[in-house]
Amino acid sequence: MYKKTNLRLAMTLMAMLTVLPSCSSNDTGSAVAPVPEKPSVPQQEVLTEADPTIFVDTDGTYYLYGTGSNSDTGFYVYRSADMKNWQGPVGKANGFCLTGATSYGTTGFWAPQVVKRGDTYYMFYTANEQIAVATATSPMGPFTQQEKKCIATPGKAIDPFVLFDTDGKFYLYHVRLQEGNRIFVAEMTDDLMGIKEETAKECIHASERWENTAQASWGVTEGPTVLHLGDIYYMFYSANDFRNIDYAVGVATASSPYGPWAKSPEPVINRANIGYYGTGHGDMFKDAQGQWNYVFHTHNSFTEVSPRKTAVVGLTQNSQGFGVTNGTFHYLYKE
Amino acid sequence: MFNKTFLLTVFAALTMNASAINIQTQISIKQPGNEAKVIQLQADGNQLKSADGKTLPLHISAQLANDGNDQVYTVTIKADATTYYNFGAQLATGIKSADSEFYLPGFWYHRNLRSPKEAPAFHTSKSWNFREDRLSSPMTSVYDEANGKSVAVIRQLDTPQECMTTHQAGEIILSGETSLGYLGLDCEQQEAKLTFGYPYIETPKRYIRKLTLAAPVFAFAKIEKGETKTIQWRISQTEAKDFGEHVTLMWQRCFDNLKPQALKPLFTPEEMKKGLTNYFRQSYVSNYPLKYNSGHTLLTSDCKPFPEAQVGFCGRVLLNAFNAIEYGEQHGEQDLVTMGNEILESYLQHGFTSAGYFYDNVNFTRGFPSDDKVVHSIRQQSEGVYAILLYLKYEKAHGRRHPQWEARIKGILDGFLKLQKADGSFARKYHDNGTDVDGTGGSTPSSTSALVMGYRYFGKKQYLEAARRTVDYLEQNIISKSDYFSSTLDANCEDKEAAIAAVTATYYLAAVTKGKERQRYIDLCEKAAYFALSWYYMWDVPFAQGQMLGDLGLKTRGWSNVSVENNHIDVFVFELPHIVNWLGQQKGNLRFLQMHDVIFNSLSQLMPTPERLCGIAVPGFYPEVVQHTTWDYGMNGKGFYNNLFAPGWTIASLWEMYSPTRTDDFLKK
Repeated sequence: MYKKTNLRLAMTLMAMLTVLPSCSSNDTGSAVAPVPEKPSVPQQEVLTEADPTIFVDTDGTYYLYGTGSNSDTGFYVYRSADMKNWQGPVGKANGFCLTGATSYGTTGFWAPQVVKRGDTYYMFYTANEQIAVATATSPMGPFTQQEKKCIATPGKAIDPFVLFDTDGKFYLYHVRLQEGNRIFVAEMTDDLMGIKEETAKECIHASERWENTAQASWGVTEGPTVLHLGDIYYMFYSANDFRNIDYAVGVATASSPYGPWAKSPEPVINRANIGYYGTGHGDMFKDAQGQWNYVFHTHNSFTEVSPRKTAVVGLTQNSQGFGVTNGTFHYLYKE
Repeated sequence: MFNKTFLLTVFAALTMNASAINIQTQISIKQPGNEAKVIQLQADGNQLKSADGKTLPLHISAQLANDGNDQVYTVTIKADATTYYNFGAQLATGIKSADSEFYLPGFWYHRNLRSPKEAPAFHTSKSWNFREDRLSSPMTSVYDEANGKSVAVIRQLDTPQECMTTHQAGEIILSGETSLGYLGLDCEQQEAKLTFGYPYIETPKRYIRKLTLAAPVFAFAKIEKGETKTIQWRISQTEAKDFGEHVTLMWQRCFDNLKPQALKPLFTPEEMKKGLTNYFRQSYVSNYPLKYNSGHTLLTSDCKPFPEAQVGFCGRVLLNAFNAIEYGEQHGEQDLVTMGNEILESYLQHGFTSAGYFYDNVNFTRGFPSDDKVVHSIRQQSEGVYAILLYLKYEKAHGRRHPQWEARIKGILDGFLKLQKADGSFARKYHDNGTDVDGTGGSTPSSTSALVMGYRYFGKKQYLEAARRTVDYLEQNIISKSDYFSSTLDANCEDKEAAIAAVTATYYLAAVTKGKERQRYIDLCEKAAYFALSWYYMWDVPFAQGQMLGDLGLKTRGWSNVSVENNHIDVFVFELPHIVNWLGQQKGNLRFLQMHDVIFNSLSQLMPTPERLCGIAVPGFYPEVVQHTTWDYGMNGKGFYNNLFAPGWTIASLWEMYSPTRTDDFLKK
């Protein structure tokens, strides 16, 4: 690396000495002006929770969780009454709603999802590339386990999403790392603490061109969210490596929670219709007006992946499934 | 050593007049390991024999045949023994050296006296010989200012061949075949001569990179015993009322002789634009107050961004930003729209000096220049205005207004009204307070399109009046003198961009005027167009195997030399092709229509794609400094590029060519 850097520097210097550069800016003068002033109105800080999820509590309060900068420790939680201004982090343990002190995991706290059953809040999450579930009496945590453990799966598993189906069963959609990131489903036990491995079935893997624009040998489909509306199951999922600018969200449909799944030929959310890179890995929720929204992340900028920014866009159901509602995309900001 | 002092003891033929030709010839023969011997030849019927009566190992014959109004001079060399030779000739033109001006297309105009002594010009020598691939047409020509006469020698092309050489200077025996000869001029004596020969020599110096003359070269070709080699040149004479008409007529001669045909393009315009959008994405820089696509001083080997933003010139940040917005919206690629808008917004916030001009250049390792030290060029300011007016018109058409931008652009154009001098010119460079840094007026025509567009957009007649005055200056000082100089910001010599600026300026005025006034601009446009087109290759130079451009199959027809100081080719075209096409239709000029197609179809040849990167690290970063002759900025010479390049303007130039209705859409609707 040192040699390569030196060689590049030497080449650049030699070239600039020999080239008589035609585009140089030597005539702009040597005196330097102060850097332009920052605007007088302080800019709001954008939230940087990747793989976000928004849980809407029964009182209409929105809670946001995600893969944050403290992903080696646990999860923050943010709260909003109107989805515009977010307070936090408001987790009961120093801003955290879950840490490795009280729940499974020592690193890699990723992609949580919160559901409520009765008076108990369940957080399904990834840590150490395994899936675990913890409970709390408040959406702000602390989410804890009586015994720190993960849900048993053969091999590595990440990105849990639990569907409470209309037939009374619970399905854990998740990603198994097997020759790519592949989305699986398995029926959960009644206590939501485990899965019936004999029911596990692969749902989808990367097969379409838009799902693997880099033609990587390790294809990626991940971040599932499943809705059961009417007779149709809708699976929202993300594809491509998360660092790829083409990271995008597609929708697949089925008539059974186990599939077979028919994919949309093109992504529903991507850089082309959002205007930013690396869009994906989010969750569906309904806002106070009953409209569907998808919370997700984008790359930090056109040149930097991290820290990923948290955003929301409205989705409208149509004959093809779902489409982005024009003019609804916005980032989420701290109050 | 090759002796260039010729003994004029015998004339080869009749003296120069309308129907007779006077050519002196010599043959140099090199025994490997010995210095070459120069033998003067004299005619014996059709045979050329040694003037001193010695027997040569070669039988050389020369025939002159009429071909219409021209003569074709055919030299045939047959070897009695394997010989290493160089054949040279001088055509005595009958024109006084004192009255002579020369035109070697794309390389020599007048006497090149605007160039410094470090470039080929009369400053250094009144006798020069150049290898043919330096020239956009293989022709040398002289114009007699006193009597309005033109004489030219045009090499008739052989099957293209080229070989590598063991060394670059002195006497070299070629390792294989070359089809390249040489063409030149000689004004050392009272009578001007046009020189030519085969294979190539370059004397008194080779011009190997910008402002760098090096030791001469004399190439020797091998001819095996019993083999025959035939070489032909066309000699053409006519009359012209001035140097400008000489260039026009000679350009037509070359065109009719070379008959350039349009290639089948590698990519369609849509495919090109799609590929070029990768440059928008991969070059984007957002960590400084000004956001921009990094457009210059990039290494071809990695294309990593450089911390400097230029409004126009090489960087073309604003025009590229608009192109990204327009393309993104048309093709449903919102990320490009966001990116382009981020760039423009950053310039709106941070891109202006106290006086309201764009920062032409900002180097972010040095910081923004203070207003008392900043230097503006009329060219970059105009290019910035051009880009933003395109953007504003586009936005207006989509129901979006930007009053802040409008105020800024009006501010700059109102500033132009104050900067313009009494003769209609603009200083090439000026301080933020408007005082001159470089008062020469050669960049004046770059302001015309901005002023005309400002007139169209804002309806302010003073802008049109100022534009008219720029073309009055242009006509008087540039077009009428056929002296297209000083449009680039790093040189002050005859250059292609100056001619293109003149073509564009006159076109813009023709687009917004009527009647006789319009016709005047059309006529000036056509005159300037011949000059502009004189830089564009009508033939394909040969490459040796191993010279990457040749291995890629590059055909140089349609590409163009940069200036008399910069002898490499590039894709600088911008609006020229559609204007040439329009002129072709206006004036029934079929050559222009054909030449448009030649240029249009040729410039996609080096488009870097993932499968065929053409020597560039990243797809879509279109190459710039294409070395098609003995030219070396320090990286591999002929057949390669300079290791630094400026894709900012190459992408912008091609984009304009592939958007041929843009100008008319702005001006006429």
